[in-house]
Amino acid sequence: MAYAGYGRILAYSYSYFIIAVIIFLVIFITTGHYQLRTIFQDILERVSPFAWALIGIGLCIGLSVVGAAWGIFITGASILGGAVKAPRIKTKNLISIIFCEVVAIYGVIMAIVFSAKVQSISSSDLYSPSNYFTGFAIFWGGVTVGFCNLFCGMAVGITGSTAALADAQDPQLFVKILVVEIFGSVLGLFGLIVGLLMTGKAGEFNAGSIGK
Amino acid sequence: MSSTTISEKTVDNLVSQNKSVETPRGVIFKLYSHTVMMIILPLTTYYYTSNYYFEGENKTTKAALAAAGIANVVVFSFIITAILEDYSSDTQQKRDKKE
Repeated sequence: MAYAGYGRILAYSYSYFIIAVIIFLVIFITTGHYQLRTIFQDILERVSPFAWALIGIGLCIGLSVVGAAWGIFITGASILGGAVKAPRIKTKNLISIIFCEVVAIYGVIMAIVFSAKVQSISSSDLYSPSNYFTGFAIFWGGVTVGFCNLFCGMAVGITGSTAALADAQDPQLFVKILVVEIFGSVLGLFGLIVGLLMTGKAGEFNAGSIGK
Repeated sequence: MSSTTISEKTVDNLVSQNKSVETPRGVIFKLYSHTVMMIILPLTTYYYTSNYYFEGENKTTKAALAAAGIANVVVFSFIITAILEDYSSDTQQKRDKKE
């Protein structure tokens, strides 16, 4: 399969990167420049909530679009290939493409909801508990929505490509495989609901709300 | 005619059944309009319900749920349209074969 090459490169680069980070941390800590405790404390307390929130928004829309694009290219290739011999499958199998695209729309909706909470605050008022919570909530909400949509798009794409080929062979199979695709596309909806629950209580970035 | 290869015979068959190969223009228009609606309608619903319809603390949450609901409505309308087009083209093929 063509994916085997990419997987090997990714696995090598990932493991080299992890080894490099571990060696750097070991040397940095054992020579006494930095304590391990303060590394985590600084990551959580000194990284700007703007950074957390904006990375979360980027991951939300980016990973959703990766999932939708993956599903669409897998399904599109199968539909076009199958339509050479069985041209009647063209219109009905666009349903699979629409299921993949809905995943990207979920990502766009959540990115708009999250970006409404990001305001510009001066750095002296930025590090309040409410702003910390908003930053973390948008980051992890974005990661949740992004990964849910990524795998939902992949699942619907692979199922849709096989549905196209099965439909080319036997038209009655398509309606039954549609049930599998509907179940697959509900996964993206779950991600959207959990993302909304996580960020529902997070207020906008605000200045001067001490102790909230 | 017996000297034509198998692939040329299938192409001749497909060309002679012209109606079953081409999709009518109305179908393509319906499918494209659903795609455009899928992009425009949820965002419009979100902005409209968030600013004018819902009020209170959690109005962005309810507006996002309304937008997701509208996206699903567009998906179901697309499914119904595609299946109806398939049935109508099937019956038209049977009518052409009978003639």
